[in-house]
Amino acid sequence: MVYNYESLTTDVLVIGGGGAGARAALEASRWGAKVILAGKGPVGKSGLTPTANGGYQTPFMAEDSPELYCADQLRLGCGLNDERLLKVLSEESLSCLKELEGMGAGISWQPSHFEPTLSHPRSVMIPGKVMMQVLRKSIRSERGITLAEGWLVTRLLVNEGKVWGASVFDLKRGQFILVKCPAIILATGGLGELYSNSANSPLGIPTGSVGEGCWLAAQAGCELVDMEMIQLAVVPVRPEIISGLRHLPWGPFFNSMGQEFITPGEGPYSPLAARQVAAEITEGRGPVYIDLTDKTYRSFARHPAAKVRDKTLYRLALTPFQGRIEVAVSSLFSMGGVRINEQCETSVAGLFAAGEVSGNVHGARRTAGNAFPEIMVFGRRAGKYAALFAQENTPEKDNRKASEFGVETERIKRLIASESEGDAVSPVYIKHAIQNVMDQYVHVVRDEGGLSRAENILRTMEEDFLPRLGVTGGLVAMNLSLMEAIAVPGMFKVARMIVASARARRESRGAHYREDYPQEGPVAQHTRLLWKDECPIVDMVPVERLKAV
Amino acid sequence: MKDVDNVTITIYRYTAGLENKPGYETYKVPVKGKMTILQALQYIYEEIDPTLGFRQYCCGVQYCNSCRMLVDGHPVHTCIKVIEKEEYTLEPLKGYEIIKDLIVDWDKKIG
Repeated sequence: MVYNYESLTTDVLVIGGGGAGARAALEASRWGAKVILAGKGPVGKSGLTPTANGGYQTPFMAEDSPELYCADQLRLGCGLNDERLLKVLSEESLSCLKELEGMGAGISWQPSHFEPTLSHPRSVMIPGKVMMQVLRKSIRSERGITLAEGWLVTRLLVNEGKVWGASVFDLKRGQFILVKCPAIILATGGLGELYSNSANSPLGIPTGSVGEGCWLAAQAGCELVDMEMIQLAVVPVRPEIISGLRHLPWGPFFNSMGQEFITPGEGPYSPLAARQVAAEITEGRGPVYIDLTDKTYRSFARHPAAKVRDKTLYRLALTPFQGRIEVAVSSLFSMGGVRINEQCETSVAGLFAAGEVSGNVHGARRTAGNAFPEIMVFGRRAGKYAALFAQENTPEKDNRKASEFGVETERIKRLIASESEGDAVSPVYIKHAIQNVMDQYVHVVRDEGGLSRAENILRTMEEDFLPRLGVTGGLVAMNLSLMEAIAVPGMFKVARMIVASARARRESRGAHYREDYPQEGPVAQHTRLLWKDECPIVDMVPVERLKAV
Repeated sequence: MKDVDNVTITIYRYTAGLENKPGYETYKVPVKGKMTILQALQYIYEEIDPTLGFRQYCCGVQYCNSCRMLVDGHPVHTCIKVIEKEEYTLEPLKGYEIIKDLIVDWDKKIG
C-alpha cells in the first residue's frame, strides 16, 4: 500500500464543524487570514450546535446589566468562572447576536427563564439550525475560507512551545496531510460520548463529541483546567428512539411509586436535580418518568424553527403528553477544558480555543442558554486574534521539523495495518468499555475509591486493548471503523484526565460532587492539568479575578 | 403506524477507489419499539458489519442532510424516518459521486 501525503500552507487552521468553528473561521477571514475550516462531519453543519434548542443569554433588557449577568454566572458557577472571560461574554453577547440577526437569522426576542435562579430572564431564542444556516452562508461567501470535510486532525505539531502545523488524516481520500500554519483554533466541542447516555447523541446517533480537542491540546503541552466539571443532566432515555433528545418540558418527574422528588425551584441544568434522579434509580425507586399525560398537549417551542421538531415528535406520539417518557442522567456539557484568556490564547503560542473545548468560562456549572453566547463571542475573538497572530508569525518554510509529522503518520499507518487478527478488539467495543467505566465511577456522585478504581481500569484497558485495536475495512474512504480507531486512544487519555482532575478536587462544587468530601472548600481553585510522561499531572491553582479598579 | 419486530434492510454497497462492483447487501435488524432507519444503520455498524459506510451524524432537524438517502427510491431524512414495515432498500442520493455505500460527495455533482 502506498501512502501519499500532501503538504498545505495556511494562516489559520480552525478545527471543528460546529458554531464556534464557523464563527472563528468567518472572523479570521474578515481579518485577512487564509483559513482552512476542518471538521470530521459536514463543516459548518455539525457538532452539537445544530441540535441545540437555541437559548441565548444576553443581558439586554432595561432592568438587566452585564454586571448582573456576571454576578449570576459566578454565583451559579460556584466562583470557578474566570471573571475576565465573563466580562467579555457579558459585554459582547448582544453585538454577536445582532450580527447573526443582520446575517438574516430570525430571533425570538422575548426573554425566558430557563434557569429559575437567575436574577433576570435573559434567554432569547435562536435555534442552532438557524444560527448555522446564516453562518454557513457567510463562510461560503468568504473567498479566504476553504471547507474541509472528513478531516481528522490527529496531532498538533509544536516546536519550542509554539504550534507550526497539524497532522491530518483525510477520511474522504484516505490521505495524510501536513498542514503548516502559524495559528490553530480548537473549536472541537465537548466530550459527552465518554458516557453511554449522552445528550451529545441526540436521537441515539453519536455526533463525534469524544473530547479530541482536549487531547490534542494536552499532547501539545497545553494547560487544561477543571476537567472534572462535567454537566450531567436529566435527559430522555426511553423510548430509545428519542434518547439524548433534550426538547422536553421540565417535569413533572415521578419515580416508580408515582412520587415527585425533585426539589422545587431546581431547573433542567441543576446538579442537585441530576443527583436526585440518579439516587431514585440507584436506590431502586426507578425508572423515573416525565409524565404529562393528564394535561392537554401544548408546544413549548417559541421559535418557528423549533416548532418543526415539536410537530415531528407529536406526529410520532413521543411527547410526554401522549405517553410517559423515561429519563436518566446523561452527559450534556463539559465546563472544563483548555484554559484561555480574553484573546482565546492558550498556554501554547499560536494555539487558540473557543467554545465548549475551552475550560474556564462556565466554572462549576453552565447555565442554560450560555453555550451559544460563548461560541459566538469567543469564536469571534479567537478568529480575530488568531488572524492577527498569523500576520506576525509566518508559516514555517523549512522542512526540518517535518519528522514529527512522519512519526504521526507512522502511528496512524500502524492502526490501519492492525486489521483484525484473532485477538483484535474493535473500536466500538473499546468505546463502550470506556463509557462503562465513566458511567460507573465518574458520574454524578464520586469518591476516592471509585475514582482510583477507574484510573486503574482505564490504564489496564489502555495497555491491553490499544495494541490489539482492530480496524475493519482498511484504508478506504470514509471508513467509520478507522475514524473511531483514530479517536479511541484519545478517549482513554481524556477519560484519565477527567479522573485525575476529579481525584485532585477534594471538595464538592457545582457539577462535581464527592461523597467523601461533600462540602465546598473555602476558596475556589482550578484543577490545572498538564500531560507529562504519558500521565496527567494535576495541581490546584487560583481562579483569575478582575483587578479592583 | 405499526410496530415490527425485525426489519430487513437491503443496502447499496460500493467503495470508490477499490476495484469493486456496486452491489447490494441485506441485513436483519431487531426492532424494539420505535426505531429510526439511521438507528438501524448504527446497529448494523456496531453489531453486524463495521465496514458499512454512512454519515454517522444526526442534527435531528433536517438541516445537515448527513442522513439523507434514498429509501425505497425516495430521498428521505433517515434520522427521523421511523421503521414501520418489514423491508427497506437504502441507496445513496442521486446526482452526486458516491464515496462509500450511502455516503455521497456533496462537492461533486454529476449528471
